Amino acid sequence: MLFANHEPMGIALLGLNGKDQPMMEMFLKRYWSTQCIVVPDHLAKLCILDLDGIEGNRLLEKQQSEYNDRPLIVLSVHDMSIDGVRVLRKPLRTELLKQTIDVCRSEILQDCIRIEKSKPEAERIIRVSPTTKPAKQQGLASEWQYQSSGENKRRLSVPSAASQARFIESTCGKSNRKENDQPVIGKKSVFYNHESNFQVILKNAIEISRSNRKPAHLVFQDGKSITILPNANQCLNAISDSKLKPRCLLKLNTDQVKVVSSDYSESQLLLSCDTNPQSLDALLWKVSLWSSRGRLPIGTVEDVNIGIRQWPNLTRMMAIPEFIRIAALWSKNPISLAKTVEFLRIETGYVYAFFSACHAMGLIQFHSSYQQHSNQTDQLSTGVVKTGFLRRILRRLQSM
Amino acid sequence: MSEHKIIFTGPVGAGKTTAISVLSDIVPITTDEMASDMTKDLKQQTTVAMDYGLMRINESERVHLYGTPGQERFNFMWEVLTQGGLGLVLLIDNSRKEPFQDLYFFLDAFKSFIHRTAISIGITRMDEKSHPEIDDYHREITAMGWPVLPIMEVDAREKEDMSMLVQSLLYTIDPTVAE
Ligand SMILES: Nc1nc2c(ncn2[C@@H]2O[C@H](COP(=O)(O)OP(=O)(O)OP(=O)(O)O)[C@@H](O)[C@H]2O)c(=O)[nH]1
Ligand SMILES: [Mg+2]
Repeated sequence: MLFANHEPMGIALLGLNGKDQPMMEMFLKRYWSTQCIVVPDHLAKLCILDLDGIEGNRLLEKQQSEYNDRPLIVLSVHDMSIDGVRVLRKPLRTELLKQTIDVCRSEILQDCIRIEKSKPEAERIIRVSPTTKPAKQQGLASEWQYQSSGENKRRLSVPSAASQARFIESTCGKSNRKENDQPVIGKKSVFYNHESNFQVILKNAIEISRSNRKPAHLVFQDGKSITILPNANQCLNAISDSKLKPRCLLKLNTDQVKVVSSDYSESQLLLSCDTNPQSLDALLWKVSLWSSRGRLPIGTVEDVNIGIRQWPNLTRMMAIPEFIRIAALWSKNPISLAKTVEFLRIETGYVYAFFSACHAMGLIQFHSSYQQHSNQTDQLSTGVVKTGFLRRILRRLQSM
Repeated sequence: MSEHKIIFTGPVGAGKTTAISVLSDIVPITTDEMASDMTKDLKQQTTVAMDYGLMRINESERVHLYGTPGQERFNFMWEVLTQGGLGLVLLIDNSRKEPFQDLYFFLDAFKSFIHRTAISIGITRMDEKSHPEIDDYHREITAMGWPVLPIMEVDAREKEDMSMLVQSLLYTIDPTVAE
């Protein structure tokens, strides 16, 4: 039999603190051995939630909105009743907890059998929370993933339209779109002088640190610093995004930011630090975007064809979906900046910002403008029916 | 009903079953069994037949997500499986002994499908082992004569990562697709 209900039942444990979580896991293991296993929230058939932690209420709300047809056991010191939820009072009586889980298990199994029987063979599949998930604002999820500070671990929060606009403006500049929603093509380019701002100071410091294989500190006048760990390809960044972003727009000289070679080894620095290490590439990438704000590095020749040597590691960078489109185009077909805007029908600022960040990372390849873009480009959008379908899948993925 | 499919492949434990389950609207059909002696050290459960998941796009359109069983190095059915597929998502486990060997193997096994369609490559478990780095994978595929391909660090458990990887696959098929 191919059915998931023959697998162990997945249980999500939410809101339990570091001490309680392993105990609960041990409890489950003791009574159900491999029959019940702890799994991430989205894979679970049953959820046990500790309501008394700081996140308790938020987690409960999430469960109720996203998984309202999944059994939920809530643990709390308070006496309460919640519609459709089994509440167990702390301190927990193991016998009662065991019974409650057993009841949930048998309900889940019944449910699976019922669904299985009622469906034709081809469709005997169990659904979880089919349409109960609240629709996220379309396309925002992936745009926003790096607004929060930790680049290495993603935190996804759905932004308001206003904060989305602020994010795009800080990386891709102000919108160019006219009333009729057509991108403005052939707009006079706006350049920025990357040679005199933090972007180039950071880039040079990384290069030197890499070639010496020695950590370096970038120390600002106010004493705040960023430490480059070249071998781990990471950095220790004591400056928040909101403080770093404006510094990317300033003209800085060597008095304002000093680059100092470190006396310590990478492992010593890592052990003694109180900030999480971040990816060095992700730092340079976002600094380049904030410096660019939808402009091009000074000296960029606009009518050459642009390609990329390799895709940027976009899952770990500040990104909007348009960057994936530009990367896809430039990885296949060298094409000019203006043609990119025209071809993809997107904001000039998105293309310039993406170019600037890729350029800072050394990912850009220039091709002679005489080299025609290959036939492939012309053929790209020929599959009309397919394109409509691709659009709908993409929309779906972006709203996940 | 308009039906399309995306194929997920990669070595044992790379995260195929997990990736399909985070993208699927249904509980994926999977036939994980306790691992045989060969793979037991690597993981307790392994998929012994195809993984299957489904994304419902609307009333009349669906995307089927198929995953090849990781233990199986090659199957004559793969050619049949890929027929009509939109493209391939290849997951490589960075913590395995020789991830580049896995890369060569799967690129070669699905060569004609990739040439006909598109591929995106996700490198998993970089949180456990950070070397080789993404740049190293790019160098390898260039040295093998492949064009520039989307290669990204992913955690198969993270929906956003998997969503972006599949988006890179679809935009590679046609970057002009827009809202
Ligand atoms: N730490 C870590 N674990 C991961 C990552 N991606 C997937 N996993 C875990 O790796 C384990 C194996 O994943 P599966 O989805 O079973 O792998 P698979 O490719 O289906 O394996 P086979 O069926 O044996 O071929 C699961 O426990 C996942 O949660 C990752 O990036 N980091
Ligand atoms: Mg599997």
